[in-house]
Amino acid sequence: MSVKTPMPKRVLWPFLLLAIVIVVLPRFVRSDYYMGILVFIGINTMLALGLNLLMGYTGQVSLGHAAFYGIGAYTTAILTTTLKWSPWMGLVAAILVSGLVAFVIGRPILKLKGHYLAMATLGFGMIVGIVFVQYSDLTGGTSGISGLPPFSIAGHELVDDRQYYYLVWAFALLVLWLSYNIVESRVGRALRAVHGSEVAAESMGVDTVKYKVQVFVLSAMFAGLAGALYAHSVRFVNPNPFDFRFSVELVVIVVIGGMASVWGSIAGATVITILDQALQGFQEGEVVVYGLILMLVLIYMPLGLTKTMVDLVARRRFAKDSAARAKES
Amino acid sequence: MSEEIILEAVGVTKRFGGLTAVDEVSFSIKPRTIKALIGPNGAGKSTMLNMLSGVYRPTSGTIRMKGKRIDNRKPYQIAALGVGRTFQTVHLFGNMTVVENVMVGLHMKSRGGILNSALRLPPVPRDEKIVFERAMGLLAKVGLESRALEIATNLPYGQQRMLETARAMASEPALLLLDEPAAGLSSKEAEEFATLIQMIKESGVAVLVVDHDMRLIMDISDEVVVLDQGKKIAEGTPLEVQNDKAVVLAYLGEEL
Amino acid sequence: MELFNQILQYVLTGITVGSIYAIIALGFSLIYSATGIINFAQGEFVMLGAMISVALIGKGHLPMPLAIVLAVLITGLLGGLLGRSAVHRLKKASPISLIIVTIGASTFFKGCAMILWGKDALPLPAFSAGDSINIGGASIVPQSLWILGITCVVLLAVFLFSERTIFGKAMRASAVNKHGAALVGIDVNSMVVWAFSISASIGAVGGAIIAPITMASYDMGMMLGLKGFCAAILGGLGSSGGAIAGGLILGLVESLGAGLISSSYKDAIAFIILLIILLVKPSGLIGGGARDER
Repeated sequence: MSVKTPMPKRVLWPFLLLAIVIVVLPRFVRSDYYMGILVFIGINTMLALGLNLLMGYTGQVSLGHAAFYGIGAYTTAILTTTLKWSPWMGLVAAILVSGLVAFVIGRPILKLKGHYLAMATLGFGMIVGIVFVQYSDLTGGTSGISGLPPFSIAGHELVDDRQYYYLVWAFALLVLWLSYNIVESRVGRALRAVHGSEVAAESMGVDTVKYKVQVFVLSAMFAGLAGALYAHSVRFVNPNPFDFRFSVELVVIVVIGGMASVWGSIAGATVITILDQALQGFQEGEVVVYGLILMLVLIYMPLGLTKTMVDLVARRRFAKDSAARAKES
Repeated sequence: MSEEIILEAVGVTKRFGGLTAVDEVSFSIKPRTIKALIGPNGAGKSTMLNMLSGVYRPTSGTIRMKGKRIDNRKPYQIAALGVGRTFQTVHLFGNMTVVENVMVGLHMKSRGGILNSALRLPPVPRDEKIVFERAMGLLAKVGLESRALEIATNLPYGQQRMLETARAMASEPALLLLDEPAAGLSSKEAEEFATLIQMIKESGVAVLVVDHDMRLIMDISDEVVVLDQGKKIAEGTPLEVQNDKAVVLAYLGEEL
Repeated sequence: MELFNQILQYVLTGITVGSIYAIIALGFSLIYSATGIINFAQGEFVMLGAMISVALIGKGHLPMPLAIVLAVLITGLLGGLLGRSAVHRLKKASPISLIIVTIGASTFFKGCAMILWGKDALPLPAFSAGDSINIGGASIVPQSLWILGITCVVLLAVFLFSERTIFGKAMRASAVNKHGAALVGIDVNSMVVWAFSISASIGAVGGAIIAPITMASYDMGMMLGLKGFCAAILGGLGSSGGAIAGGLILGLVESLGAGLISSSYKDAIAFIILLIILLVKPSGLIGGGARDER
């Protein structure tokens, strides 16, 4: 009788560990500036997770993800300032509007593959960016919209980065959990099948168009959520953060963290956000370093940081095991 | 044993611009039968297979699966009607493990959309376990259960073929389409594969095989259809077809 | 008559800008035909052509024609270097990787330009002095004529090179069939490098001839590059004729649209056209050698 292969278990301890780190970390962080960075890491993580599901797992390139981030931010900005909605309603609206836009353009765009899809998403992102700047009646043009109300929980307003941090990371953990569940499920396998071989996936009953659109909409909704959280954190919006440059940065995060690695999204978001901030002083340097990182990572670590490291560890362990076994025999 | 027809192709034609790849081809397949589709290069065999699985749409003609028209449906819809297939070059999911590949094959046999997967609502956890165990069972049938957690494309080629076939069978199709399954296999592997196909046939499945390996075809097929330059030129048992003058002409270019 | 004059003005502007788009689009097409790569850094070659010219005239005190020629050569060299590193990636790359590597290169070039020359817009003198010329009620600056003239020369040169010289034919052969070309003794890898080099050079020419009108700055590359890319897709990726047609059409539509409909959304026109073409006929108007997208 052969030994039964056990079903690979869901790995839940990292969630617990992360939750603990999130709760404990602020005690060690004195300055508000660093708290702000941690908030941004949380926001970027949500953006990265959505894009990772789309690009890393399903293999659909998007060079316009920042557009959905912006749509979410502007949706809540407009609704909470002009219509005086509550930020929570604005948040829900941000998620829904981003999702809706993704649904409308998703179906036609996702018929394209490879380069053509990348270009279409780029075009879409550019158009949205231009609308943010030019449709000033609605968006406030280059100055944007200011005076957004803060979130309040039980009458208490979240104006301080320290408090906001918990809100953002609560959502980030939620998005992380949702993403992980999707990945380790029938849907996750269908998505990866679409990436692996669309024609083979179809032959097994996987409606590839449906899944591509669904993951596209989901990634947009995560981005809309991130946008709303961003908007009520800084409490103003302008077109600057939602440009092609940021779409590229998100792609960098996903690639560096490791395509098709949920935990990689956090790793990538952390590294890039910190790098971003560190290079703020050397504005010119930032851009150059970015370019270099992109090229080098892709050439030497095509699997991304996390997978490459996991690989390295696994190989070392394998080498040790073989050496040990060789010694025994 | 029923005499019902599983698949019926009537007057199927496929034109690509000026080229007619398949010209008014008709045939049918019954359950528990292995039917071979052979012919010289460029005869239109793969095109025909692709039309049966929905990758191409016929220019004219009809294809019916269990009486229902499938020539106007998308591949995933045709799969849902009970058609499984393998591909000329093995189309395993190289980004997944061996068992995960088979689990995708069970896609139609499990439930769970994006919403209840994301929230991990009740049917999902239990379903996952069931799907995994069924996949392992299928792997055991082809002797691959010990390699379940390896990346699918790390397997030697012959085993990749077996895996692809196991994956195609996971959804319990009524019709299995095999596109050049013996290509690249050693003679030992081809024999093992032939045994597998026989097993599949015995379980009641209708099998359509496209291949060039004449020994394999003649050994295992119950019926053979011969195409040449898009047209059907012969149909019958392997023996009948072997002796058919038109077939010999097509393959050798001259009468013997 | 007023409207006619206006339209004529837009048409003239459109053709002028369109020629630049055509040159940039041609660069994209060349590299795509030779390698299947979309070179995001194409716009930066335009920028480098302009900026290096300015630097050589200013700091280097070189006379303008020499400065421009040198700028074009230097940019061509940089392009070739990029081609060499791209060649390494070609072996096993997915579209995502290739796109990202060229985006990385583009960011890198832009960053270097920012460090070397700062963020200000720098002027490049027009090639010939003189006031605007009046053509049927519309006016164009002399530089526009230079742009049109030089563009024609460049396009003709590329055409002749590609169709009439052995080298050009070899390049087209490598694009169509890598293995076949290698079998007949063509060094396919160096063809790739040359494709990049030539594309970079013609991009640089584009930059140098438009800088007198638009001024040179470190970030002029992106929009021009993206629009040039839209033009290439419009005409059909991989088709030289398509690049030219696409460039001119885009220039005209953009100019007329901005003038007659709305000038604030001018930049969006190119991308709207891009989306329309991709969704309706991805192989473009002339339908270049659209490669298999797996």
